[in-house]
Amino acid sequence: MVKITSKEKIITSFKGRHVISIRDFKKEELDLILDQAEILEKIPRAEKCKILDGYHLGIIFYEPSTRTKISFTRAADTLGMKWEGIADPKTSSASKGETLRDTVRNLVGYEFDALVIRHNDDGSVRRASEYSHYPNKHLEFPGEPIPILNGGDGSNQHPTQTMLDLYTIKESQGTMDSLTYLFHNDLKNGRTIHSLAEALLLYQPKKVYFCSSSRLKMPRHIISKYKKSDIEFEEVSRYEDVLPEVDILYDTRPQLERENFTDDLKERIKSMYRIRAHTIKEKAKESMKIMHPLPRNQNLMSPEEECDDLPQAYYFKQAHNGLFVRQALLCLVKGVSF
Amino acid sequence: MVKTDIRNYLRIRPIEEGIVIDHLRPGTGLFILNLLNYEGLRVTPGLNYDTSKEIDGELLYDGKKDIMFIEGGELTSDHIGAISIVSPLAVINHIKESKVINKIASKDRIAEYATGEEYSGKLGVLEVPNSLGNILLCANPKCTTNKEGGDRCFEVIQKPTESLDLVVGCGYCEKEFYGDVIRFYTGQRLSDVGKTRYYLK
Ligand SMILES: [Zn+2]
Repeated sequence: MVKITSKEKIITSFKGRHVISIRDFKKEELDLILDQAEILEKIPRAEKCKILDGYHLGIIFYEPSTRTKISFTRAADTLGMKWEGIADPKTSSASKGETLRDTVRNLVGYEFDALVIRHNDDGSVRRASEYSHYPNKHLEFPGEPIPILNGGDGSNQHPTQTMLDLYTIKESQGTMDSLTYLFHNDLKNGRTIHSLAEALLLYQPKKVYFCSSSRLKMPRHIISKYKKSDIEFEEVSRYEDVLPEVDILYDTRPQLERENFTDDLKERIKSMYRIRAHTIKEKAKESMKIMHPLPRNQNLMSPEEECDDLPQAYYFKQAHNGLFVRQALLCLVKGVSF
Repeated sequence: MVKTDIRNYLRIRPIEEGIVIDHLRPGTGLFILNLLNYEGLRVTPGLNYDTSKEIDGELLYDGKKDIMFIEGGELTSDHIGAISIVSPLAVINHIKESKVINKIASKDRIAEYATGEEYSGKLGVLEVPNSLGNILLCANPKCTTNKEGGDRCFEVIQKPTESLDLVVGCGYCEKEFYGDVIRFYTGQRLSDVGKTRYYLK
């Protein structure tokens, strides 16, 4: 009898699976995605482009995001997978009042092997995934539902971003465990930060610092999850003080346009919560890495360009890692693993 | 000629088949009535009935309660969930052939029924469920359930206790709501019925 390892079980469970929310994934499953991404990063281009030859990916973006889109289309291209951007839904059916679930019901008939959806409504991609099987259950069922990958649903989830963040941490530090993390700047408005902070609850960080102005603090529901966990955490207001301990500094752009602050307060937040190269040079470990979901703001926002040449600057590599993570997901949902 | 059936004017007919929700916290009757009315159930409400308590063999006045008489209907698990939230000490009686065949009530009451001699039918515990469905509305206006409609589902993240509010999370937009923000599909807010004073131990 052939013994099925737990890894094989997880691989099998990925086939045909939707990728909607980071909350749907267990630690072992995330670890598998990261392992597969690591393997894919090392496979030469000439070999890689045969892996998903003959497969077709549909890309439906209701909300423009050049970087997410190109990251998915390049992931498909480099695996030899054909892709089709479904023409801006704003100018087609959606403008006639068609719901996302009807759009998906229509598309499943066209033999796509996977769909990537980005939509403005929170939770919309989960709803769409309920309709990715053949439209009428009374007709003969033609096969598995088409896996749907969430490219961002409003302010809710962007699971591939969180996976690439985890990949970047693992790549640069070798592990997610026993590290000290510092989440910095606007902790209230960033879904990236919220998802990553929640994902870290699956691991064993040494300590997690949340550093922000009192007006832009981490939401209560995340803090209460940390309180219930064994993870040591602290809310601080100045990053300089704790910097020497930190292994991962995750910075964000303050989304002050969403806030009703006075101009004076906005300026104060901008200048106080700005990562400065000389502070990093003076206080941070050489092995510390600065991460940022990008885009960063041009003016005073951190991290500034002056940080780009520091050994700690890692945000562009972080963005590039999105390619390997998305390649890994496309392979796994089609039942391909290494 | 319109004929009036005099029986409609009688107080409350005993129910032969259906459900009686007894011991509803006063003030929650209308709230529950609204939920049930929405689905076209045949309901007779009873508001501010006196309750009594037996102490040393004497029946003493013990405050007020609301009662709902539902003829021939069934409650969904969502209805029972809503009752457990707004009135955790209510007793839901299933009646068949004029007999109570099933009681759903708080743990303490269940214990009383189980040891007492008056009732020998089935018993079930009334407690806040782990998830709720269409009975709630998502409070996030950007949620797909509010934009494009469709079924809703909510995870109960925190069951209410004396010191903690009910917290629910939307299964679609993943936002969490508590206290006054929680709204039922009738448009009624949880805060409309006030904070329930009779919490379970
Ligand atoms: Zn919602």
